[in-house]
Amino acid sequence: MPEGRKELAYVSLIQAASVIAFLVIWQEIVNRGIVPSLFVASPTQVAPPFGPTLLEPFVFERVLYTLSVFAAAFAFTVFAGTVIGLLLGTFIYLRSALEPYMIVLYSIPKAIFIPVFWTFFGLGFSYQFWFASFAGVIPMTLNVMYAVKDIDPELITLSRSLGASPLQVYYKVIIPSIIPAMLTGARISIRAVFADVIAAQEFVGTTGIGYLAQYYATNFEPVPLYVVVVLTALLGIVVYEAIIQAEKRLTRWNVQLS
Amino acid sequence: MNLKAFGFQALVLGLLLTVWQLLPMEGIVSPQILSPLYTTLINFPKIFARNGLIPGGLIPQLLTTLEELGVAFVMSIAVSIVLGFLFGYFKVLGRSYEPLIYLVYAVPGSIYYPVLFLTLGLGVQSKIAMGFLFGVFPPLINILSGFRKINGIYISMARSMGSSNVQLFTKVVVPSLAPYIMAGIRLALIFTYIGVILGEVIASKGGLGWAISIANYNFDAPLMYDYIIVVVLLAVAFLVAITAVERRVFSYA
Amino acid sequence: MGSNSTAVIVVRGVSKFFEYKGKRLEVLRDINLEVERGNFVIIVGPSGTGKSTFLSIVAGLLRPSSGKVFVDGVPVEGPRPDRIAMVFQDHALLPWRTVIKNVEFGLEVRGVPKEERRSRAQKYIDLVGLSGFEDYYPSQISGGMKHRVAIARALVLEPEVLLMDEPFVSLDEQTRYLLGSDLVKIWRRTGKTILFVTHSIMEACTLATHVVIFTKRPASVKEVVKVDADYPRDPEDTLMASMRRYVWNKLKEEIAQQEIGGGPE
Repeated sequence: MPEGRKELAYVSLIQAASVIAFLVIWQEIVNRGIVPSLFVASPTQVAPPFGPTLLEPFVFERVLYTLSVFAAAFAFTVFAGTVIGLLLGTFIYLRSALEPYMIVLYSIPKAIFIPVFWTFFGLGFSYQFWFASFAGVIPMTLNVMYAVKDIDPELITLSRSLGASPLQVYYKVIIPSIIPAMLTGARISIRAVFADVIAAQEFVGTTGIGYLAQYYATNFEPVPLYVVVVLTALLGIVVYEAIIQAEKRLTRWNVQLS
Repeated sequence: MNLKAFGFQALVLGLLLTVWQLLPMEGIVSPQILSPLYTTLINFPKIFARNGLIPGGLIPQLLTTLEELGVAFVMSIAVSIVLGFLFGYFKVLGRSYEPLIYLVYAVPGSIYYPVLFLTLGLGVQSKIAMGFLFGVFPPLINILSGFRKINGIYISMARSMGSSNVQLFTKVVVPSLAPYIMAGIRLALIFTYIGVILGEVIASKGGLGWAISIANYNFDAPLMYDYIIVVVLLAVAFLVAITAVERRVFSYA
Repeated sequence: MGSNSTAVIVVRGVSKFFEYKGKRLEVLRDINLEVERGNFVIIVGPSGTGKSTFLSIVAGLLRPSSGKVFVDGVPVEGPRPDRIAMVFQDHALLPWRTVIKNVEFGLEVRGVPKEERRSRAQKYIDLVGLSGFEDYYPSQISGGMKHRVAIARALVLEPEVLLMDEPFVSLDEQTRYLLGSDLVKIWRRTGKTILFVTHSIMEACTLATHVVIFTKRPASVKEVVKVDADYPRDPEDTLMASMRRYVWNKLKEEIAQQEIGGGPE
């Protein structure tokens, strides 16, 4: 067997074995009562009710609601982050003035602002939307801002010398140059936005996946809780993979050949 | 530091502080939502009060958060470095687990917390676990990318000098990875902190995040903002400390 | 099979091909070469002919697909830095080590004790003209100085042979010239055998005792030209100029064929 195929076989084997081992250990922990069954659910307990639980309106509505808040917040994040990033990248004084604050904002736990957003917006869509957007905008802006800063100034000089107006320079040089950074920023923010919509829902309120998770946990109902968690995990993976695929396809020209 | 940039930054700070004071003061925003700067600041000594809204005042909450952070941070670093080296050195393991790592990384972290507090309760354990889950992945991913970026020419050179595999590892691989390990430590600190505070805000019995949510539920805006300021100052302190350490260690760059 | 020769480096029938995505790329074909002790031999050839590959094989970093290399009568099975030391194109100085710790690297690997390491390293740092820069980091010294460190590092193990893979290619003309003449001085003082690869015909003719002209890919030895001129050499000298013209003409034959698309791609 050629080297490549042999290694692929090993890799698949290890992956499969690891997943199986994980499920088995999880099952055993519950079976043997290592953790009291009030607090956990095993794979065999979670799998059968998986579909039915999700189809209950109580659950189903909240999943859809969460996805809609997430989609809106993510779209806004990409848009606002790009616009602000472009502004900060273009106007150097604005950037140098705001840069340290943005970096601090990026590094602090944004959860501390959840109560503030709730107090201002009350319960519901706006509260979740604005908190998640706030969290997502920061990495998006930083990525775009740095990408604009790093554009080769010669490209701009060249286009101007060929007679391009400032608007054309934006369209034809700056925006295409920042697309890789936009995608990287989108990839980083998509996790944050999804997680923060759910976090806001966990903190207060009766809507969304966050509420479901928090409700089942405080009511000692591990089975539906785990169903919701597994579903959310799958949704997160699908969403993240989508962005990675987009990144791959849209940045083919950016590949560095070593 | 560029004096002009510093000037602009100070200007922005001044602007922000002014807005912070004026917006609630002029009634544009309710003082419940944004506690005016002055009110917030003069309330500061109150956060140490032992028998106010927050039992024991600031100190026990600060210690709780630091304890959770400390344990989760050490665990994150230890696990990410060990796994990072294991997966980087044994290519088969790396290729097997890297996709799995990315898969788990894609899961929105906030969904873990209800599972954690159901199993581990509202005490420090659930926050430590949350901090660990948040803090272990970024450094791990970073170290793995560091392995990919090791300059092959250094390996060729070391081999041409007759280095054994062990020597290659200790004299070339490990020093090449040092910046990535350092970056990993910084990432672990930041993300562990994020996880711990998130857990405290959502559901907890103690800690700085918990204090913020309690102050909020009890409509004590100045107290809430005081605690928010404490959390932010702590984060800035961490950043400054880590940056200073990085500079000392990498003076050769 | 012994080398049956007094030459320091004996290359017999060395060929090398690489497999890439099912296609076979033949880089070297039946190279035969002998380098006598104390000579300064420079290999020139069209771009991409595999001169670096050849040097890596002589250094023991790559295995030939067929054929054998002998150094000092002993077949080359792997790196032997105390016999053959290599200086890389990209100097390859470890950025986290100071100049002197970089020079000591080979000694460290062989377990030479600290005191001896330091004094031997110091000796060669002085030889290449970098006295006083022992505790500087590579990021703090110029490109030419980095190459000197790389040379010192190669020499410190006192190998019989020094292999150099386009060592000065990243430097500007003046630094190249200076480093070249310093290299000649070091060569004459230490009596090493040098096998050097370059693009530059000027460099080849000015420094070498023998110039080896490689063919286009798959490379073999087209011709070996003896440069019969005393050191130090004046590049403007008529002998030098005619030598360069000769080598250039030989190379042109190879390059022309390659451009038109002769040979495997």
